[in-house]
Amino acid sequence: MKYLGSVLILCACICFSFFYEIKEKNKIENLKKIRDFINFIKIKIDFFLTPQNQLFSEYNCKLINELYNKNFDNLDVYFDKETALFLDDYFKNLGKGLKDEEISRCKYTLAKLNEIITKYENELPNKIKVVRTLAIFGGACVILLII
Amino acid sequence: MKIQINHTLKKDKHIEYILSKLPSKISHFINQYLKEYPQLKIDEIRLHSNSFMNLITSFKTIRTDLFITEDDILETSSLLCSDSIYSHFDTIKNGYINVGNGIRAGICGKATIQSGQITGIKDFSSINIRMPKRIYHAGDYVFDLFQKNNYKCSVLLYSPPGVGKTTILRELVYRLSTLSNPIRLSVIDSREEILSGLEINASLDLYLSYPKGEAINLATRTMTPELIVCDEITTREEAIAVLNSVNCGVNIIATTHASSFNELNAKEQILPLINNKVFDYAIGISRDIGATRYKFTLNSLKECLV
Repeated sequence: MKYLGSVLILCACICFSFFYEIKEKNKIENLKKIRDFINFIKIKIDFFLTPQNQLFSEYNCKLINELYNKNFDNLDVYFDKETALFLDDYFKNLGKGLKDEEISRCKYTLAKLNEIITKYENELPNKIKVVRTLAIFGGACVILLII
Repeated sequence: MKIQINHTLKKDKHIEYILSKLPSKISHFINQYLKEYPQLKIDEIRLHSNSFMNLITSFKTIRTDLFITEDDILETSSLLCSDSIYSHFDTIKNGYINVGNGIRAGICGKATIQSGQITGIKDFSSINIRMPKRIYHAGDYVFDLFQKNNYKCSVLLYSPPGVGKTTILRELVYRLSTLSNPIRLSVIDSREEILSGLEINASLDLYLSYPKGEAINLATRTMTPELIVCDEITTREEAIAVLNSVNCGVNIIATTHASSFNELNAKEQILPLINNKVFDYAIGISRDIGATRYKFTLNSLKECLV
């Protein structure tokens, strides 16, 4: 029983680190999706002055649709608190400025998103290593205690 | 038995539409006002920041109790633009927003200028929402004059702002476009207000949102019109385009701002048109306060040389 328990704990720890990795990668993917969408907004405003409702209806992305349907109140589900606040500010003020202001805001948001994505991507391997080590080490400690 | 009247049914479609585009605070107030005074016909809704809302009805200004803040102006402008102020960038630069359904909102604030050109307007301070209205038979006087001249004459309509030049032009276009023997008619509607509220199925060359001068030149060169209808000649370029067009044998109906014939003659951009006998007639339009009937002053320009 002891050994079976130990194996289960070890598996749980490995699974935890595995899911953590997926979650972090999803976060980066979501940020990239948002970045692509803001780029789309920038082009549409710059060349076509497309109204806001059309921007959202023309863009086919599950994440953007989900965010739009909840009026961007669920940003913290997909992003960390700081990024969610930053994106919330962008989307809540979208459409309130003239063309040049909107394009400037798009450029600023894109630059900031690129910064965040690069930071996350650089940190990700180390973060995964730490979490994996901690999870296995923690699991090993629990196994030792059980044994 | 007490009969309840559903006033909302009496509201015209323009009011219904604009109320759906206004912040709830303002639309609720106007709704209540219309319930209280169902006979009221709103021509304009004037909003000034840090002041009370004014409603204009048949030339009477009603000062309401609703106080408008800067935030209300900001919210209203955003809603009128369907949350996309940038998409109305071109018209905002020219001082108005096309709200849709033929409704136009004049807007003013602080202009940003680069090399002498207005590049944008920020800090909106007041909004004037104008309802398009149809006054049936308003164009009959000018139409009859046209008929007498076998549809071959050019006419300049003048009046101070807000008297009804565009309303008359709208009815005139309606009559001219529904003739049994149709004439080739080009309508230059640069602010999309001449045809607002009209349902015209007749053949009509419509130049929407074009700069007036360019549209007149384009129409003359490409659409071979017999008659061009154009609202508000204000610049020298537009006057030159009108002159060129008439020299090509096209008749013109145009409007301009002036309160009297003498004032019209004093207008720098109109004077060359009068001197070159571009127009056969100049018709002054006036209306008494509260009245719905127009008064016309006919000036024949064929013999006139200033």
